[in-house]
Amino acid sequence: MKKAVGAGGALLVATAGGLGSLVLLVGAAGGSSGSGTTGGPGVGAGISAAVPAAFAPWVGKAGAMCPQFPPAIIAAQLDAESGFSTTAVSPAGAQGPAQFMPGTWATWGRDDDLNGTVSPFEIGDAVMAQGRYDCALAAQVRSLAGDNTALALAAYNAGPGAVIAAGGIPPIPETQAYVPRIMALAAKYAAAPPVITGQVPGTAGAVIAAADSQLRVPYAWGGGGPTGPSLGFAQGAGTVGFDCSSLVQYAFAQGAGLTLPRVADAQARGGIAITKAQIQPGDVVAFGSGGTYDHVGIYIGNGQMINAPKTGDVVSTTTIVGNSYWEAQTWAIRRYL
Amino acid sequence: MNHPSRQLVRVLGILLTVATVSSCGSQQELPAPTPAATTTQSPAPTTVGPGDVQTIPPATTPTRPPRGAVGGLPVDLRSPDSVGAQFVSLAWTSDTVVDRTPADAARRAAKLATPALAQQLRAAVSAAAPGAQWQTWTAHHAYTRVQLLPNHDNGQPADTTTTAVRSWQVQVTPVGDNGWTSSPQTIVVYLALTKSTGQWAVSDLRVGQ
Repeated sequence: MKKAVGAGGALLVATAGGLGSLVLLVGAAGGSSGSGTTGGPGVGAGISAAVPAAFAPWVGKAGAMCPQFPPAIIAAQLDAESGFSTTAVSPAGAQGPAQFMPGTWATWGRDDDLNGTVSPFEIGDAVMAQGRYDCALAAQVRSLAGDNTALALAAYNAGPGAVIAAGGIPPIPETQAYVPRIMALAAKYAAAPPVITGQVPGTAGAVIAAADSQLRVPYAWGGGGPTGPSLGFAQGAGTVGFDCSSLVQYAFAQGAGLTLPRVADAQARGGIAITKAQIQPGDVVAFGSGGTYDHVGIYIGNGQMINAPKTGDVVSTTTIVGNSYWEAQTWAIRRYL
Repeated sequence: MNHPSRQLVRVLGILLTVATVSSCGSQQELPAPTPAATTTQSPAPTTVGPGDVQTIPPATTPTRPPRGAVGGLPVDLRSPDSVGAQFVSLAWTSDTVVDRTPADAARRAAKLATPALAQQLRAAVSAAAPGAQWQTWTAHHAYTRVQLLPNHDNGQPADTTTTAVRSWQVQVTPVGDNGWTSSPQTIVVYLALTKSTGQWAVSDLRVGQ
């Protein structure tokens, strides 16, 4: 059988504004550049119909203030803060759709809707104040290494002082969880997903092409995700890359628009179970022992898979069929497409 | 950073907020907006000064322990698996009846952290409201149940005698009054642990979606 997509296989990425731009922006999360990065060209262009109509024009306007906070991220914050409620008041005293505390609102609130009042409960005033505040936070943490949007979101949650003191996203559970949650929510509010096609027709070909585009990217434990490689954790903290399951997540998100679980064991239990005799390119192949699975890759045909192997290695293809190391393990082959 | 114009704007903003709130039942008693109310506003700052963000303080000492798995697991301080699992369980077990924000749960986990991380967890304040999800949980007087699924990756860094990394897929399910519950939230937590004087402690953490 001919290998589905070889190294350097043709990869077409057609972006249609919003999410395509967001992918560029989020894909740098973790700071591959070493200094404050911002979104790519076209950031701020698109809003999906998921944004409530009364909010859409203001989200578009606020999302044009700075490239770090395109409309999709502004909308994601409004969703997380209040679910787009204009009457929300939290027990701690936060008010309106953007959930401003009164003391914070006093600095950032303006009469943006020109109705003669300045109110955190008015959509225009609240959303524009959020945009101003977000962009000021992005400016505040610009000198730190890492994705400027992720750092500014962390500053939004924990305060800029905590981010600056930590030299990055501080190790505070609430803040650590807030940043990826907003990034994930933003995909719902972006205008259009990217379209990736590869040499092999169909969705399986697109999934393999997406993984193939990451060949030679370093392994980084805890790094990577649906939008691209990012800084790993612990010993991988200085490396921008993928671990085994985040590479699979990336390929299915970019190639098929599917969200797979983050961890290998969960990926080994989703989709439809396939036997070795039925295996096809695009199937997820996981390996383990003792009832759990601790490695995963994507079958590409010709007895091979593409995978992110281990610390110190890079994304690569490897032969699994007939290979004594892999054959000795318990396999789980799952079809998601 | 708190220059006079900002303070003027802040006072004006508070006055306007008070006027807006008081308008709920007596719209006709409000003075008509004057041009001065909108034209005296200075431009919003482009950086964030210390007085430009109102933070949410920790909860006061609760009158009863939080519900959920808090303190429910025995901890073997000689085991990075045990210390890590209990840390994650504590850090994500919130009780909206006694906690003001999720940061209060993280403070309870600080006892299993290194001194440096514990200091960060105890000092953390929330600069943003805990959000719509927390408000929903609060309305149902909910607490969270945490389930951990080890996230093994055969490529992850190996343990040394004094360092270890662990990861779990964490499912957080709110449980409220009268059996109320909602969809579980799933995250992946990565921990770095260090061993000192024979005991493991969490030194760093990362959350993925």
